[in-house]
Amino acid sequence: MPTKIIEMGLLPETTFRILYQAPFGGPLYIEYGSDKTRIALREAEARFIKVEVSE
Amino acid sequence: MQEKKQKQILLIGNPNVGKSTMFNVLCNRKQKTGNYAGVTVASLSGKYIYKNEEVEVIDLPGSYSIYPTSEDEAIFSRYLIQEQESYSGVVYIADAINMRRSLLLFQQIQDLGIPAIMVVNQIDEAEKRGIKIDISKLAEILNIPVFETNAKNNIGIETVREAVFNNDFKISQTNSFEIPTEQKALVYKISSNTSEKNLYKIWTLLAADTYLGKIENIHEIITQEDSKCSVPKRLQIHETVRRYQSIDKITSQITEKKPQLKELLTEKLDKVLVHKIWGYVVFLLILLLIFQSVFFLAEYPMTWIEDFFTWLSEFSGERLPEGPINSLVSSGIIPGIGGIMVFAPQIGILLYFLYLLEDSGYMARVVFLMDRMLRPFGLNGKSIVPLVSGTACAIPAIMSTRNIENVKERLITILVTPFMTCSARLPIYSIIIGLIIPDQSFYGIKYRAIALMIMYLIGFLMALFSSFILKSFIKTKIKSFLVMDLPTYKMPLFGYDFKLVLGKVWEFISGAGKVIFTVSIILWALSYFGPPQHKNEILATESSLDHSYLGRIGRTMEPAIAPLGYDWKMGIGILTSFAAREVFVGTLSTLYSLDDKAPEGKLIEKMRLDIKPNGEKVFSFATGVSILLFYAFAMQCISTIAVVYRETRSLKWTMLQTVSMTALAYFSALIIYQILK
Repeated sequence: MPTKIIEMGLLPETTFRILYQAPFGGPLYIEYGSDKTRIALREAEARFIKVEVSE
Repeated sequence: MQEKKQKQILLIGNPNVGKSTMFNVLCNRKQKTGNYAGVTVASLSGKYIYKNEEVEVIDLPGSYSIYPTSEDEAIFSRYLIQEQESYSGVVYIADAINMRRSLLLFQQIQDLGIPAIMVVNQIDEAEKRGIKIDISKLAEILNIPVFETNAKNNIGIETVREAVFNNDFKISQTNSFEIPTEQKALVYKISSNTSEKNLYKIWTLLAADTYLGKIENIHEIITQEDSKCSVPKRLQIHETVRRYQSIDKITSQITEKKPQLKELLTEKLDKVLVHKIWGYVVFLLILLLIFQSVFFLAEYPMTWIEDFFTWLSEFSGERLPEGPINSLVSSGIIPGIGGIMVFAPQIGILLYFLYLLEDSGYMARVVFLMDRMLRPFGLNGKSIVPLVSGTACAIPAIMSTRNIENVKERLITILVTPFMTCSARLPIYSIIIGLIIPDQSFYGIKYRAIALMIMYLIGFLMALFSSFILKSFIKTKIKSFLVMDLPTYKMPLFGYDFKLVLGKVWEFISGAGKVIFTVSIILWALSYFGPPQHKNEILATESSLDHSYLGRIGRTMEPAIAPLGYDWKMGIGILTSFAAREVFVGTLSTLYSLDDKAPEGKLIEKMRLDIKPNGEKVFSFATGVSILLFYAFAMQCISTIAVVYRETRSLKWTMLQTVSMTALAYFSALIIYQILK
């Protein structure tokens, strides 16, 4: 997994939302943290993230 | 007089925090800043004088941590760590909207024992989002001076200058990161065997997988057993997670949040701009708007400039005394410079649009939209930025590839970017399209505009096609990835960008002007003088130009270019424009002015009326298309070759690119001419 994901502040136990995805399996547009940071990452990188559905 | 003191400071921060704007305001310099991570592609230096001190400011590329993942981040880390003796301190720019992320890199810098002050930027933006930051509390916790600025409006800059003048930089006495027990022994061992006493610095050498700094004999000290317990990537992750834990404690103390009720601009805009369908529609419309403007908004100023130079040329022709100087000035230099000046409006408009797009934060969305489309071609979403800015100029475009982390994707992007239709091709395209495409329109869409669109498309498709080919030739083990910040939208600084554009256009004109000036003089000399002739050899239909040295040179190369449909004048144009494409038009302009048999008037008219001895048009449709294709594919730009070499550090790839582009240009022009003639 690229260390960059963690450097960007997407740490274990962070709540995030997937807002958009580019077509044909393009990158994901996610928002997380109290700063409402928004980043884009590919599906391939997102697969490294273990998620638990909240709400 | 008191002697000036000198001092060097570094500007450091995450990408996209207003670092470059700060640099510009501090140094009063026109460096393009943008709302797209990675605009500062090289470290820049500027200077300002405050009181009696001259301060050199180094603007390093933004980074999220000291462990580099791309070339621009590597430039940052190396300078920060290896050049520690040359600077007095760091001005760390923190982003008020994203304090958490800003503090990560800041803590690392503090732990490295680097003296620093902090500047919190974009406070106004944060307040709009309901975030209030307690600056004095922050200063107390971090134990350093913290300032509040808004670089875009010049607020707080004087206080920063004053702090730099007073040397308020502070080195932290405590470490915010505790070296984990597993590695402690090793770190202490290295420390006791070398002169390095900063434990964190030793840790970073273990944790970085690329070269950051040097400690003598470190390889002798680290045994194989030692390196087992220090897998760089794992150490980095451990450090980052730990740091964020302590940072979260800090941010909870310094920030106060009001509940955010109204939907912010970024949220609203992104509903459309990254939409599965509308996102692409908008992107296409923006591109269309840019190209339409390049052609139609520029039309009026272009006519004025052209008329002015025609007048100037005639005026100087009449006023200057008859003789060689007269013909040098009025037929050589003035038409040569005019030939390039005329394209300033088009280049300016194109640049202005690109700057506004970068500034607003839209470029990151384009990366998001295009990543999936570009991946099959061995490119990254981030390649779209060099490709789009390649439509202005390949040189900054190639430099902007530095934030592409993957080496293979970066190399491919560098190799294919010169296929994009840069502004230097515009003069050639405009004049040739004007010659071979009629001035008619189809339901309001001009044929000439369509032809120009096709040329841009050909360039883009060739870029994609060659990436596809290159993809299978270049091997890499490193996996490609995309993790990218999506910044909040900001209102672009229209006036500021306009000033930058004026600067860039002037750079283009003066740069090209110098070359054209020199070329004009050489062309003039070669055409004014010729080998002695026998009187009866001069035919009535031939002008003296045909008999000059220049004519001779052109004739010698004719066998090579005749199959492409070019006459010797175009041949000379291609030869002189090897250094820079735009010289082609300047050269033709000079050549036609020198030709006493050519009619008076604008260059395009002279070219239109030029006929071969057999009565056919010199610029026939086939010849025109052949020239267009030649310039679409040929490298023809010394500066690009130089920048490719500098960025790839590989003579092999640079040569391969230049040779194959030239060959492609030659043969496609040859084939199309033979088909169409």
